[in-house]
Amino acid sequence: MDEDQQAIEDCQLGKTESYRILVEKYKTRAFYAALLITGNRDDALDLSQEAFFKAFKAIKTFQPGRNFYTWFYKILKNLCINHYKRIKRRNIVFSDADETEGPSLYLSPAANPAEVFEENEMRDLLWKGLMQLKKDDREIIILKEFQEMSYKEIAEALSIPVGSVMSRLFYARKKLAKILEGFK
Amino acid sequence: MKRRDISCEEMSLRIMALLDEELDDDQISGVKEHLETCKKCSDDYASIKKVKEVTSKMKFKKLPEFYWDDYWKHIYNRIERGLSWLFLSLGAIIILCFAGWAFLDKLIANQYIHPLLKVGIFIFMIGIIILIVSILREKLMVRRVDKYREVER
Repeated sequence: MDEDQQAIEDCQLGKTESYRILVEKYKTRAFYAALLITGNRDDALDLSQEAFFKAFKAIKTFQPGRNFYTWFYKILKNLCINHYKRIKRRNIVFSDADETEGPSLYLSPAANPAEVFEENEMRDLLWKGLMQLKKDDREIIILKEFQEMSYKEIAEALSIPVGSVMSRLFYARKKLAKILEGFK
Repeated sequence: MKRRDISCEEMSLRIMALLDEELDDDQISGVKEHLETCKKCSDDYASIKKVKEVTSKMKFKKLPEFYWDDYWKHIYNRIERGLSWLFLSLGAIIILCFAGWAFLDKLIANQYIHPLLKVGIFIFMIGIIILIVSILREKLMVRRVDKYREVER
């Protein structure tokens, strides 16, 4: 049994301290996933911690053999969608968000690339390019490139077959390549 | 055994899997052979490779260490306190209800207080209980997770 599964079983038996193993292992990934959505470090920290708390509360429903992070990612994603809706309701930001497209999960208009990535010559262009993609295309590229998920993990996280992951990723990348080419 | 012909559409997915290191060893040579003979797939390969090169150069801004210091502690505290908050609020509601009921019981039995005043006190008590439950619910369920509570509405 791997480390994650062992820790999860311990948590299911009420050993809270074992949850630390999972938190320490995935906290950076979770934080960056939230940072890509909010573009704000404090919010990203809060949301990722909240997601870990909620995941622990639901740990008894975790099915053995599944991947912890992809399961956790769904919780984080839902929290981020709620976060988005809450901000939108208060009309603080996102006033130019596309109403028909629903919550734009990654790289919101309020996010700032300088808060997320180290500076390099392609950072702003890539950011602009990603922003021009549809939200589904953007999400799948981010899961692959910045969350470093495998095709199988993406399939689990998005609840779609691996074949669809490959096909969606291929077309999303082609679109991004075309957009980046257009910037030159 | 005759090798199955693979369409360019299917091959393009394999090309991407090759770049993502998700291809089985026995499939790699087939893809490479195809790339040498098919211009369309070769162009797709080049464009996806460029995208990958750009994204792989991106590095997340590192978070200062002190941000991580209390990360686990914060989660642990919330887990530990979650149940106690629930018990605390339930207990408080029961105690308040009991005290309210005891007070009303004595009030009803008291012959020297005017009935209209009794009705007034009764309604007032109901208002207080609803208010307390509402405030408790907001404190426990809403405000605790509200990141923007400082923002003026």
